[in-house]
Amino acid sequence: MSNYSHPEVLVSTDWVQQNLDNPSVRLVEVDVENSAYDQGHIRGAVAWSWQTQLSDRLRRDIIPRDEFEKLLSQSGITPDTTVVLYGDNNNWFAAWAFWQLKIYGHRDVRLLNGGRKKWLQEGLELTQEVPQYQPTNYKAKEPDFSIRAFLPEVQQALRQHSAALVDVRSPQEFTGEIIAPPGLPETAQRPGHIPGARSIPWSKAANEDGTFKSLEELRQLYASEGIDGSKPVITYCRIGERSSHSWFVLKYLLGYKNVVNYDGSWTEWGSIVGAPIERGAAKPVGELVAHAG
Amino acid sequence: MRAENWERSQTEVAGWPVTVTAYRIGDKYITEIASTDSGACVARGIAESADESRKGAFETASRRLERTRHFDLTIGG
Repeated sequence: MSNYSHPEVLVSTDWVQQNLDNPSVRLVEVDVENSAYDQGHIRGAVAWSWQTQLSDRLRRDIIPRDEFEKLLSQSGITPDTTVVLYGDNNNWFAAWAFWQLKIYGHRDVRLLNGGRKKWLQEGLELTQEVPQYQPTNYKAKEPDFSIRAFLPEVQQALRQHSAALVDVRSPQEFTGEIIAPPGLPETAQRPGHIPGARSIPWSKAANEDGTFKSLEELRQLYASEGIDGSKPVITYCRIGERSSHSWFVLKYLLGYKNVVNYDGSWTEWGSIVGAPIERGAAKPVGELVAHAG
Repeated sequence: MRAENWERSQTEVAGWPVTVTAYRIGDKYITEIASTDSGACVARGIAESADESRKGAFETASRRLERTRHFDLTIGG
């Protein structure tokens, strides 16, 4: 892990085992909902549900600052706590939580490399005991939306070719053969992708055990689609969680400076009246560059 | 407690490639089915036996995957 651009944001299963009793570290399991946590989790970990605790479902937004402060206070977290996130679904929702913690300015946030899958696969100790921590009075910073893309910024990027769009969904979602991952609800009106987007599925950045691929593998993966850090990058998927995973890779493992996550993603773009959409495979990189120029 | 009897395999459900992960934690057997291409978890079965867990997960996965619509890329609109 040491040759990534920001190796300090990743921890291994060994590191977690050595820090289980470290009072300055708070483990947080982040899942869509908490049933996996209830079956067994890492000792000392608290549970955050993406559906009910990290998302404002009325506004379709990240949780507001006061709710965020309440969540971290209830979890016994202070601004000096090292927050280590892990979860199921290949760390997608843990990566979302990482992104949201950075929006609200938490300094030391890390991901467990490989997430819940790797911990379980290695047969490491689990518990069903829910820890209780002394509540804190956490104060978040003003939200930093420089790492979040809203619809107007994506529309501008499309018009001005000012940023590269990276679609991290599966190839079939990208081409428009399906609207959502197989078996999940269709949450957009039309299938396809944002014109000019590159198709780089999130899964290509991960190994079979859920850990991230090496720096060189990641660099080659994105460079083969023309993404080399020389231009701002906007990642998107269906609801913004898979794209948080790829945002993390591009910003923290590869160290590209200007990378933002468009959490509105396909559920937003694919439902807007009049929004341009492309279907089918992506154009070759050379053809796209010539067109943009 | 820890995850034991960890097994991972590939198969198809309702025509979709899926990855099946099965394991036991304590006295519960868990089967997770994810669509292979997207990586999204489609179903999770938890039961007192491996067979029940697998059956529950596959029933849910079949029901959900059968609903997935294919779009014809040659037709606009």
